[in-house]
Amino acid sequence: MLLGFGGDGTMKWINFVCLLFISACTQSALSADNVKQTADNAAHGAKPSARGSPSPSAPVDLTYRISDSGATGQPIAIDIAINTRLNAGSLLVEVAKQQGATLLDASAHRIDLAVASRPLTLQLTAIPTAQTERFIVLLLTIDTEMGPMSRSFRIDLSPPVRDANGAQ
Amino acid sequence: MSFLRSIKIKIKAVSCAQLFAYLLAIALNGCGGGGGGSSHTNSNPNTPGVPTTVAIAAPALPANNQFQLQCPTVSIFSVTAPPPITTSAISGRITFERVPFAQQHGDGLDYVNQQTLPARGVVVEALASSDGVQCSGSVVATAVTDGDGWYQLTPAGSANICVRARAQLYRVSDGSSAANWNFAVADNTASNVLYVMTEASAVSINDRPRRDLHAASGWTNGSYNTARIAAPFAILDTVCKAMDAVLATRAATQFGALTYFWSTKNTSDKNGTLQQGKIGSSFFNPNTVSIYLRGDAEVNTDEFDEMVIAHEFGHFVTHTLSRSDSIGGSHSLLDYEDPRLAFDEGWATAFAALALHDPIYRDSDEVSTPNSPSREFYFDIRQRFSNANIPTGWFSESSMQRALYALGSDTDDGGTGMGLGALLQTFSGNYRQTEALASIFSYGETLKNEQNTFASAIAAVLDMEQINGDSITEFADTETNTPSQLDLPVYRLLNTVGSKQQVCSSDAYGTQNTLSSRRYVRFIPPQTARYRFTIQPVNATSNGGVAGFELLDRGHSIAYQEGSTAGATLTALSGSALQSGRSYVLGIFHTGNVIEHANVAAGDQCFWVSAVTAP
Repeated sequence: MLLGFGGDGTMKWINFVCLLFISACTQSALSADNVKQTADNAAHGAKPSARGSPSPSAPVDLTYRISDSGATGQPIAIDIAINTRLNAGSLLVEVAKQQGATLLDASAHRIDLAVASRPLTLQLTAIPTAQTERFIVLLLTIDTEMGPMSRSFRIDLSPPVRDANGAQ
Repeated sequence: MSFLRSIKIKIKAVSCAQLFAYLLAIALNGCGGGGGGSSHTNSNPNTPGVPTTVAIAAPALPANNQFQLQCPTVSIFSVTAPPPITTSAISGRITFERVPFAQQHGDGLDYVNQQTLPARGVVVEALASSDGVQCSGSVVATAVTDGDGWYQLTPAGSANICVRARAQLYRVSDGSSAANWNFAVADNTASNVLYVMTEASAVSINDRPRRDLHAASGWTNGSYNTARIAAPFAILDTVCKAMDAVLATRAATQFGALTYFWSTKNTSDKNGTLQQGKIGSSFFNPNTVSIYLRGDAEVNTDEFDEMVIAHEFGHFVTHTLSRSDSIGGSHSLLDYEDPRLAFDEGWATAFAALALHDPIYRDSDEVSTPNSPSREFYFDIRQRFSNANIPTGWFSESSMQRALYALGSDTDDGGTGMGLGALLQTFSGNYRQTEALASIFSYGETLKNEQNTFASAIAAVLDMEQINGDSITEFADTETNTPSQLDLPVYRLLNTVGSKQQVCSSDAYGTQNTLSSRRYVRFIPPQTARYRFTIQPVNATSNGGVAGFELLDRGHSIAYQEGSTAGATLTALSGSALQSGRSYVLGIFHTGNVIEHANVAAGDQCFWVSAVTAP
């Protein structure tokens, strides 16, 4: 019917040609994007986490990276990134436990979320002992509109080196 | 050293056996590891790249399968009137220790006041010892425990017998009920093997007709010093309650298999693999139909956190009996979330509260400091906050859990009185096929239609959460509540070829799974055909958006594409033909707002979306 030249059909044909023209112009003006497409279109696409959805918790998360496995007595640098979607209130970072390693500075850190620059980072240095199981536990307490909420995190200092975001 | 292989526990003997204190071994495949290779404790092999369930092998048909119509709550026996001792049967009671929560919220687990409780509905087996001593050999009788933990086994033959309790609730559909379930607790850090509790050695029925097995918590002298055998059975006790909450109104529910993965190595550290126990947090994995729970005594344990266990079971319920479109990821009560995530998380928490008859969510923690003395994360899911900074509405899991709890709870608790059964009925009915995304909008409209005598009450509950309950529709056509007018409408409408709609992806509330990180377009094909979609950044420069696209058919992703170049137009095909008149949903996003590690800066980016038929 688009090929008809009479009445309404003519307009449709013109529209169709225009659409092709516009489409061509668009393609030429804007380079075609290199795309990633799921091999299986039934895949779930842009899911943010491969580990499902965690149970309810305080609105704060933590990732870290350690410099190396650390021979006994040799310092280990722990680079911590703290993630929270809150932009106000205070965040208290405390060392709750140390095993197999001693932090050079185990004092608490209080962060004002309203003024702190993002990303929120913290660097700790640990001196490992001869114990094979080495870890520290941080307790993060965030003041929220619902009251203070805490969440604990274990940071494993035993070898091998691990990526900060869960990759091996 | 793993307690699975070596730790001895005490058997609590009763009546004539009181002179004996038996040492039991909890073992992977029989006592002392001597029964390796048993078909009853293996795991399913995983084929790389192919999603599969992690089903624990089924036991033999329990002799009393037909009498188990739910998780047992009653028993014809009691401690004072136990099963009669005979020469042909072994009987006994399976118990476990529960560490309860302290009375005071914030005080965490109360290790001083541990309770001994019956292990209900768990599978108990009689093993005919192959050498007369070791707890390995063939299974010669199987039963499940009753509502007080009692079991009775009538093994064939005259071999020495060893009793084994599996961390497994199990029922097969039969003439008495179509209901079935296979809920198991296994160790993700030890090849996914099932936890079992066995006697230390095999003896004849005559020598030991009464065999009670007790799973201790392992807490002695102020810390965990012995095997934590109670943990798998405590988890199943909560699963029992959650299961029964469903069976109460849906007696023929076919749950199928679900595996809880628990280990003393499962910790809040996520820098590693699940096999290492680096699970980060408890969570439900729909691809493997499994739930991971923490067990790290240094940081956080979940085995006695009934709300956590039931919350994750709530996700299993929607996954198995209904539909969940949740995109997962980190979330909290204070977040502005994608409506799919908010609804599913709110549901899971509301389900836990309704199933356990407790509106206080409590998640214990093993860590505290003088500055932060609380040993638990807790909240009252009914609590309403007047502070304008706390999200309220269709994008808030706090609102969702409050609304769903109110819809399902009794009138004396401020609820509608519809009951959990009414909510489940809607979850398992037409709601599954709604063309809109699974959210409070599609659920609310369906619930109102199906429970029309409660329509006013439903609308009132939704109104309290600033959701337009009076005229709620699955595509949120009447919704006006939003933190910013930029977040509305929830769905743009695209129903003509050649026209275009503008949507804007935003990082205003965070990234990945937050409100408006993805924007939605309702696409109604004017004719049945394949379609080519064009997502054109409004800012077509190097500062423009990196387009992402997803096509969803009743919540299922049927096409997905993401660009890599800022300002570049993305074209995507529908794949198969889309049906005329049916509604599909396009999820449009700036990859920097959604894709973790996309190396694209987050930000507010707008796109023109259009569709044409494709050859």
